[in-house]
Amino acid sequence: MDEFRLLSLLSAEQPRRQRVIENVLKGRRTVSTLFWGMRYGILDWLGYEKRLSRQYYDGLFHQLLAEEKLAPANQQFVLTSAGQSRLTELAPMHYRPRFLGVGRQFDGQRFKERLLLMIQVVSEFSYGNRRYYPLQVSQDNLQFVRSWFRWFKQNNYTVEAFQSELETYLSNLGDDQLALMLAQRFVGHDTVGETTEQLALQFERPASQIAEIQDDLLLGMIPVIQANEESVLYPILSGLAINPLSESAYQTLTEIKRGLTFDQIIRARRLKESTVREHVLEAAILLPIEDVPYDRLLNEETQASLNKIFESQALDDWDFERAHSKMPALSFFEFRLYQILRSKTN
Amino acid sequence: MITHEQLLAELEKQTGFTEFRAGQAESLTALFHEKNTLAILPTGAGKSLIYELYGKISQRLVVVVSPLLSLMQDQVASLNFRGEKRAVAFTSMLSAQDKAYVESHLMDYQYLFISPEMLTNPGLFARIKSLNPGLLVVDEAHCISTWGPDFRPEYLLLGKLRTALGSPLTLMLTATATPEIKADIKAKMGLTDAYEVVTSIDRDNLFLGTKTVESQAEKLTTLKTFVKALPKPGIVYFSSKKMANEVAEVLNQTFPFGVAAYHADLSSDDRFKTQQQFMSNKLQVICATSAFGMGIDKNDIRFVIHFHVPATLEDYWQEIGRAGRDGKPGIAILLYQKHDEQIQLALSENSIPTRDEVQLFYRSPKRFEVVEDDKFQLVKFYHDHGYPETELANYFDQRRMSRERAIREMVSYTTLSSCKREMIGSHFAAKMKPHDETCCSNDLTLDQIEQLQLPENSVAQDNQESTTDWQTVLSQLFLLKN
Ligand SMILES: [Zn+2]
Repeated sequence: MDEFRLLSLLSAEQPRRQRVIENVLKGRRTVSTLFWGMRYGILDWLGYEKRLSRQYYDGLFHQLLAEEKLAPANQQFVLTSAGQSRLTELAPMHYRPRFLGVGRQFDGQRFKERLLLMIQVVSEFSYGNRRYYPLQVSQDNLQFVRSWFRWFKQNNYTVEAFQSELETYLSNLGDDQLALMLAQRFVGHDTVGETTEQLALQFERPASQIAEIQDDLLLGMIPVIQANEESVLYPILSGLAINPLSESAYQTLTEIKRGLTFDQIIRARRLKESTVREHVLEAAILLPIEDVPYDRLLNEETQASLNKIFESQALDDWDFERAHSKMPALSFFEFRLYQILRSKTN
Repeated sequence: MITHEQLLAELEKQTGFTEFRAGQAESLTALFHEKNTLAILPTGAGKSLIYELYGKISQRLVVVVSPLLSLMQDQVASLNFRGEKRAVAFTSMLSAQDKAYVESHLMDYQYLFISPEMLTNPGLFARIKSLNPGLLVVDEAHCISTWGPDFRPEYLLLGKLRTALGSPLTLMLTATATPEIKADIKAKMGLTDAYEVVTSIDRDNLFLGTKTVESQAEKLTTLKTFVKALPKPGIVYFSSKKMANEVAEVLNQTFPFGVAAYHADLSSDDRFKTQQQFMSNKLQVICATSAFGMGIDKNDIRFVIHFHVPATLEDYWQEIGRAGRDGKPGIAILLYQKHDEQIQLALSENSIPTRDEVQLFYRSPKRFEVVEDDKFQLVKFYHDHGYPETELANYFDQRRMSRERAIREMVSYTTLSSCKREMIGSHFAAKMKPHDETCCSNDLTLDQIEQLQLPENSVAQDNQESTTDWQTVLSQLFLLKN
């Protein structure tokens, strides 16, 4: 988290809440954080800085306010023109992650451990060397790579095939500097690459940024591998997919699709009504529109009335009280769900 | 029973070495005669080879109890390096998933490294017991002695745990121990008649130099002068990560050779790379905290410099023991500024609970059920094991005093004008080589260094230059057949 990152998460047009951005970075999955995170288009950053400290974040925020790079707008904040030009000025020295979304679908840490160890194992194998210090990875990844390597040899895959997949990926990045930064992360026979500190000197960027770039480019390999079932790396993805919803929310959604009512779900699973509603809203925000049975959850009449009330109003400014005064039976749940639906259709 | 010839044959078959180092064969022979053994072998003398070979010959589970996470990981890595894959470190760092995996595959492992606390886990303990381990190894055994400065309370559990395991054959290993500590180790393990293997602790190829400076700035200048003059590779030890980082940066800018910092804050990838680059001499100097070098098998380290005073002579002797393992001349240098020991005194002050803290805990132990603070964890440990309050408070006072004594001893080594080696010898009750011009100096100069005729720099292996394009990196990584 630095000045650049914070500025880039704010907008000149859309006023944003200080706490929402903080909670998105910390990965707090409350419905309100998820909803506004979606509205701001920053949900890919969910949990990107789990250890962000409140003190540090607030300090940075206040500094930007004092420097008038941000301005308050109705208890929220917008980028000023000074803030915008600062962002443009900082941009060339900073890296914008390209594959954030992948990290929400796959366990990037385990992928990284597996891939780097595979590279080392294949490299040493190509030189016929069996005496080396393996990278330190978790036991299950170690076992995974061992069995992958047996599979690799039994199926007569070649070192060339392995190397050429890496080569294609690096070359398709279309940026030799980035490709070099990533390649220097690899470890193998008599080549240990460079540490982030060493690369920081070489590329005149902070070491933390080097690690960030490398991690991002590693994540970027996942969709490439996923798209190619013939890939020698394809098995690496086994067990790495992350469920976007909690087990419990997923179950609620399945039951609703099967036609159960809220009351039936509440009774059968001894949940609170508010919990079931949160499950549905979480699913609505995080899943594609076709995975959630909106029509079963919101009747046509409600949708039409809400549409009429807010016809001429920007979605971020919708106000529940206003709707409620005209539709006394309306619940906040219905209001928010419709708001999500409209976000997704616009 | 196994003969010396058979041992030699196994050594060559398993490791490729054709002769044992001091103490190894004697320890193995004792173990194969079913004798519980206490072996005092200096750092780098190949302590791990003893249990490694025991496991290979007996084909039974070897359980190695070790105090430090990094040490365990290094030991597993070096077993892996020698082609032994059936080794694992069972530590608090393992994920729940990994713990479950290791627990259910325990019979697949030949070497299990574990901390004493982890060993008390009932489920795991039962499994280990059911596998009927052939050898229990207590690494860094001096940690069991309350006399010693490195005492770790959880080591006190080991005597009982050993009995509960069915009293397996036991090997206690340590690099340095005074006579009191040796006796205490055996007593605490309930093995007063253990066989003792003692090798010389002296490292007669190491010159012992100290240099007192007036200021922090002078210390840095002195360090630069020495680092410039000395043959590489070498290690500079610090007691703070921040200083290690800062000085590494300064040295890196000053000199043409590679310098890097090494400490626990680096990512595991960067730690791995730093170690490997040092092994291949691409990096020539490492600025490290004591976390570095535990498991490193590097023979040609020429110097070890301490930028800060270590806490004890034991620590110091172990850390400088990393220099000159190839038997060629090496040098250990300690830089000292008056009152440097205040850091260590403060550290010790902060790590041992006070009377007030003990009282606070005993008044309402429930409040401390979940406690992160190291000091209160320590008090909790004793409380949970039934120590009365007053006894514990007295005991901590004693420990504070013995830590202070150890630090003052360290300082007196630093400023001692008579023979430093002789002082070490009398501390450990060990025989040392008599003083001569290759022995020690209380005011180290460049002239003295020159007269030592240290060996030349070790030459970096290939791939020393940074590669500037990714295609080259890839083509070096993989040797293609055509
Ligand atoms: Zn001397």
